[in-house]
Amino acid sequence: MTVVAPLAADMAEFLEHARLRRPEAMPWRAPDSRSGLDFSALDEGKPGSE
Amino acid sequence: MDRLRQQAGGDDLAPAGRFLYGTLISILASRYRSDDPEKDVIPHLCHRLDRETSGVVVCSKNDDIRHKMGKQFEGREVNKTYLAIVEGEMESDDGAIDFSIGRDTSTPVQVKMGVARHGGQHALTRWSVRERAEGFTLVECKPLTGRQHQIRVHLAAIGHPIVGDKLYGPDERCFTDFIDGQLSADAKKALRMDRHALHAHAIEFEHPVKRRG
Repeated sequence: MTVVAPLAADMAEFLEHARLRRPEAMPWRAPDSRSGLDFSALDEGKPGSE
Repeated sequence: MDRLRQQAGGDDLAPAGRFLYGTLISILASRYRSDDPEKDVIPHLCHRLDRETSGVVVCSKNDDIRHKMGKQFEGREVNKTYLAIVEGEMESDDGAIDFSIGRDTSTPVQVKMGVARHGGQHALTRWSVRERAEGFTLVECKPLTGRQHQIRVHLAAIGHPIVGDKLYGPDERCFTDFIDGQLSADAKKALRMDRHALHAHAIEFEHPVKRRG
Protein backbone atom coordinates (compact mmCIF):
# COMPACT_ATOMS: atom_id res chain seq x y z
CA MET A 1 0.00 0.00 0.00
CA THR A 2 1.08 3.57 -0.62
CA VAL A 3 0.24 6.48 1.62
CA VAL A 4 0.76 10.02 0.41
CA ALA A 5 0.89 13.19 2.49
CA PRO A 6 0.35 16.40 0.52
CA LEU A 7 3.15 18.92 0.76
CA ALA A 8 3.20 20.56 4.18
CA ALA A 9 1.42 23.91 4.30
CA ASP A 10 4.46 25.90 5.34
CA MET A 11 6.55 24.50 2.48
CA ALA A 12 3.77 25.28 -0.01
CA GLU A 13 3.62 28.79 1.42
CA PHE A 14 7.37 29.22 1.03
CA LEU A 15 7.23 28.03 -2.58
CA GLU A 16 4.49 30.54 -3.31
CA HIS A 17 6.63 33.33 -1.86
CA ALA A 18 9.57 32.10 -3.94
CA ARG A 19 7.50 32.12 -7.12
CA LEU A 20 6.62 35.73 -6.39
CA ARG A 21 10.32 36.49 -5.77
CA ARG A 22 9.79 37.39 -2.15
CA PRO A 23 11.03 34.45 -0.06
CA GLU A 24 11.94 36.92 2.67
CA ALA A 25 8.21 37.39 3.22
CA MET A 26 7.94 33.93 4.75
CA PRO A 27 6.91 34.47 8.38
CA TRP A 28 9.06 33.02 11.13
CA ARG A 29 6.93 31.05 13.56
CA ALA A 30 7.97 29.98 17.00
CA PRO A 31 8.04 26.16 17.30
CA ASP A 32 5.28 26.17 19.92
CA SER A 33 2.92 28.19 17.73
CA ARG A 34 2.30 25.34 15.30
CA SER A 35 -1.22 24.12 14.86
CA GLY A 36 -0.43 20.85 16.60
CA LEU A 37 -1.32 17.33 15.73
CA ASP A 38 -4.28 16.49 13.54
CA PHE A 39 -6.04 13.29 14.46
CA SER A 40 -8.72 13.42 11.79
CA ALA A 41 -6.99 10.78 9.69
CA LEU A 42 -7.00 8.34 12.57
CA ASP A 43 -10.74 7.92 12.62
CA GLU A 44 -12.07 4.76 11.10
CA GLY A 45 -13.37 4.98 7.56
CA LYS A 46 -11.78 8.29 6.67
CA PRO A 47 -9.28 8.66 3.85
CA GLY A 48 -5.76 8.11 5.02
CA SER A 49 -6.73 6.04 8.02
CA GLU A 50 -4.97 2.93 6.77
CA MET B 1 -4.11 -2.48 13.11
CA ASP B 2 -1.23 -0.22 12.43
CA ARG B 3 -1.71 3.45 11.95
CA LEU B 4 -0.27 6.16 9.83
CA ARG B 5 0.30 9.63 11.06
CA GLN B 6 1.22 12.86 9.46
CA GLN B 7 3.45 14.91 11.65
CA ALA B 8 3.44 18.66 11.47
CA GLY B 9 7.19 19.22 11.42
CA GLY B 10 8.75 20.31 14.68
CA ASP B 11 6.77 17.76 16.68
CA ASP B 12 8.72 15.20 18.64
CA LEU B 13 7.94 11.60 17.85
CA ALA B 14 8.78 9.72 21.02
CA PRO B 15 9.22 10.71 24.65
CA ALA B 16 12.88 11.29 25.43
CA GLY B 17 14.96 13.62 27.56
CA ARG B 18 13.13 16.89 28.10
CA PHE B 19 10.41 15.95 25.60
CA LEU B 20 8.30 13.62 27.72
CA TYR B 21 4.89 15.02 26.91
CA GLY B 22 3.23 16.22 23.74
CA THR B 23 5.09 13.75 21.55
CA LEU B 24 3.34 11.78 18.85
CA ILE B 25 3.64 8.55 20.82
CA SER B 26 2.45 10.00 24.12
CA ILE B 27 -0.54 11.60 22.38
CA LEU B 28 -1.41 8.37 20.57
CA ALA B 29 -1.09 6.48 23.84
CA SER B 30 -3.54 8.87 25.46
CA ARG B 31 -5.95 8.54 22.57
CA TYR B 32 -6.01 4.74 22.55
CA ARG B 33 -5.69 4.16 26.29
CA SER B 34 -8.32 1.89 27.75
CA ASP B 35 -9.08 0.78 31.27
CA ASP B 36 -9.76 -2.65 29.80
CA PRO B 37 -6.32 -4.33 29.61
CA GLU B 38 -7.42 -6.33 26.56
CA LYS B 39 -8.25 -3.15 24.65
CA ASP B 40 -5.37 -1.04 25.91
CA VAL B 41 -2.99 -0.06 23.12
CA ILE B 42 0.69 0.72 23.42
CA PRO B 43 1.70 2.50 20.20
CA HIS B 44 5.19 2.28 18.77
CA LEU B 45 7.02 4.07 16.00
CA CYS B 46 7.98 1.79 13.11
CA HIS B 47 10.62 4.25 11.93
CA ARG B 48 11.77 7.76 12.70
CA LEU B 49 11.81 11.17 11.11
CA ASP B 50 14.07 14.03 12.07
CA ARG B 51 12.39 16.39 14.50
CA GLU B 52 11.78 19.10 11.91
CA THR B 53 10.69 16.83 9.08
CA SER B 54 6.98 16.79 8.31
CA GLY B 55 4.92 14.09 6.64
CA VAL B 56 4.01 10.44 6.93
CA VAL B 57 5.02 8.35 9.93
CA VAL B 58 4.07 4.69 10.37
CA CYS B 59 3.07 3.61 13.87
CA SER B 60 1.99 0.21 15.13
CA LYS B 61 -0.58 -0.58 17.77
CA ASN B 62 1.04 -3.81 18.92
CA ASP B 63 4.41 -5.56 19.04
CA ASP B 64 3.57 -8.10 16.35
CA ILE B 65 2.92 -5.42 13.75
CA ARG B 66 5.93 -3.46 14.89
CA HIS B 67 8.08 -6.54 14.37
CA LYS B 68 6.67 -7.18 10.89
CA MET B 69 7.09 -3.59 9.85
CA GLY B 70 10.58 -3.52 11.31
CA LYS B 71 11.55 -6.41 9.04
CA GLN B 72 10.34 -4.50 6.01
CA PHE B 73 12.30 -1.41 6.98
CA GLU B 74 15.44 -3.40 7.76
CA GLY B 75 15.13 -5.29 4.49
CA ARG B 76 14.75 -2.03 2.58
CA GLU B 77 11.39 -3.21 1.29
CA VAL B 78 9.78 0.13 2.11
CA ASN B 79 9.92 2.81 -0.56
CA LYS B 80 10.03 6.35 0.76
CA THR B 81 9.65 9.55 -1.17
CA TYR B 82 10.54 12.93 0.28
CA LEU B 83 10.02 16.46 -0.99
CA ALA B 84 12.61 19.11 -0.19
CA ILE B 85 12.99 22.77 -1.03
CA VAL B 86 16.65 23.51 -1.59
CA GLU B 87 18.71 26.62 -2.06
CA GLY B 88 19.52 27.40 -5.68
CA GLU B 89 18.09 26.15 -8.95
CA MET B 90 19.39 22.69 -9.78
CA GLU B 91 20.79 22.52 -13.29
CA SER B 92 19.98 18.89 -14.09
CA ASP B 93 16.49 17.48 -13.99
CA ASP B 94 17.48 14.35 -12.06
CA GLY B 95 20.42 12.47 -10.70
CA ALA B 96 21.81 10.28 -7.96
CA ILE B 97 24.12 11.03 -5.04
CA ASP B 98 26.22 8.18 -3.70
CA PHE B 99 28.62 9.82 -1.24
CA SER B 100 29.35 7.65 1.78
CA ILE B 101 28.23 9.16 5.08
CA GLY B 102 29.90 9.17 8.48
CA ARG B 103 30.24 11.30 11.58
CA ASP B 104 31.59 14.76 10.83
CA THR B 105 34.70 14.82 13.00
CA SER B 106 35.54 18.41 12.12
CA THR B 107 32.82 19.84 14.33
CA PRO B 108 31.98 19.75 18.04
CA VAL B 109 28.34 19.14 17.13
CA GLN B 110 28.05 15.45 17.90
CA VAL B 111 24.92 14.76 15.89
CA LYS B 112 26.35 16.20 12.70
CA MET B 113 27.04 13.80 9.86
CA GLY B 114 29.03 14.46 6.73
CA VAL B 115 30.41 12.99 3.56
CA ALA B 116 33.08 10.48 4.53
CA ARG B 117 36.25 10.65 2.47
CA HIS B 118 37.47 7.39 3.98
CA GLY B 119 35.21 4.71 5.33
CA GLY B 120 31.73 5.77 6.29
CA GLN B 121 28.58 3.98 5.25
CA HIS B 122 27.44 3.59 1.68
CA ALA B 123 24.52 5.88 0.92
CA LEU B 124 22.47 6.45 -2.20
CA THR B 125 19.82 9.07 -2.90
CA ARG B 126 18.01 9.46 -6.21
CA TRP B 127 16.48 12.86 -6.90
CA SER B 128 14.42 14.60 -9.55
CA VAL B 129 13.34 18.18 -9.92
CA ARG B 130 9.64 18.91 -9.41
CA GLU B 131 9.81 22.67 -9.83
CA ARG B 132 12.29 25.54 -10.04
CA ALA B 133 11.11 28.72 -8.37
CA GLU B 134 13.29 31.82 -8.53
CA GLY B 135 16.42 30.74 -6.71
CA PHE B 136 14.99 27.59 -5.16
CA THR B 137 14.14 24.08 -6.28
CA LEU B 138 11.44 21.70 -5.14
CA VAL B 139 13.10 18.32 -5.45
CA GLU B 140 11.77 14.80 -4.97
CA CYS B 141 14.21 12.50 -3.18
CA LYS B 142 14.20 8.74 -2.84
CA PRO B 143 16.74 7.46 -0.32
CA LEU B 144 17.71 3.93 -1.26
CA THR B 145 19.70 3.59 1.95
CA GLY B 146 18.70 4.89 5.36
CA ARG B 147 21.66 6.75 6.84
CA GLN B 148 21.23 9.39 9.51
CA HIS B 149 20.47 12.79 7.92
CA GLN B 150 21.09 11.20 4.52
CA ILE B 151 19.02 13.53 2.35
CA ARG B 152 20.17 16.64 4.21
CA VAL B 153 23.84 15.67 3.94
CA HIS B 154 23.61 14.62 0.31
CA LEU B 155 21.79 17.71 -0.91
CA ALA B 156 24.17 20.00 1.00
CA ALA B 157 27.12 18.10 -0.46
CA ILE B 158 26.09 18.91 -4.02
CA GLY B 159 25.71 22.58 -3.19
CA HIS B 160 21.98 22.67 -2.61
CA PRO B 161 21.30 22.63 1.14
CA ILE B 162 17.73 22.33 2.28
CA VAL B 163 16.11 25.67 3.08
CA GLY B 164 15.99 26.22 6.84
CA ASP B 165 18.50 23.51 7.70
CA LYS B 166 20.19 24.66 10.89
CA LEU B 167 22.84 21.95 10.79
CA TYR B 168 23.75 21.60 7.12
CA GLY B 169 22.65 25.03 5.90
CA PRO B 170 24.31 28.42 6.10
CA ASP B 171 26.18 27.91 9.40
CA GLU B 172 26.10 25.11 11.96
CA ARG B 173 26.05 27.78 14.68
CA CYS B 174 22.39 28.19 13.70
CA PHE B 175 21.89 24.75 15.22
CA THR B 176 23.73 25.42 18.48
CA ASP B 177 22.24 28.90 18.84
CA PHE B 178 18.76 27.49 18.23
CA ILE B 179 19.30 24.83 20.89
CA ASP B 180 20.41 27.60 23.27
CA GLY B 181 17.37 29.70 22.34
CA GLN B 182 19.61 32.41 20.95
CA LEU B 183 18.95 32.37 17.23
CA SER B 184 19.74 35.86 15.92
CA ALA B 185 17.70 37.87 13.45
CA ASP B 186 20.50 37.48 10.90
CA ALA B 187 20.46 33.72 11.34
CA LYS B 188 16.70 33.60 10.87
CA LYS B 189 17.08 35.64 7.70
CA ALA B 190 19.74 33.27 6.38
CA LEU B 191 17.70 30.18 7.23
CA ARG B 192 14.53 31.63 5.61
CA MET B 193 12.24 29.09 7.32
CA ASP B 194 11.74 28.19 10.98
CA ARG B 195 12.25 24.49 10.20
CA HIS B 196 14.02 22.63 7.46
CA ALA B 197 11.93 22.24 4.31
CA LEU B 198 11.88 18.45 4.18
CA HIS B 199 8.64 16.48 3.94
CA ALA B 200 8.06 12.71 4.02
CA HIS B 201 5.69 12.72 1.06
CA ALA B 202 4.91 9.07 0.41
CA ILE B 203 5.63 5.67 1.84
CA GLU B 204 5.01 2.35 0.13
CA PHE B 205 5.03 -0.97 1.95
CA GLU B 206 3.25 -4.29 2.19
CA HIS B 207 0.41 -4.06 4.67
CA PRO B 208 1.42 -6.41 7.50
CA VAL B 209 -2.12 -7.77 7.92
CA LYS B 210 -3.72 -7.45 4.51
CA ARG B 211 -0.46 -8.39 2.75
CA ARG B 212 -1.12 -5.88 0.01
CA GLY B 213 1.85 -4.14 -1.60
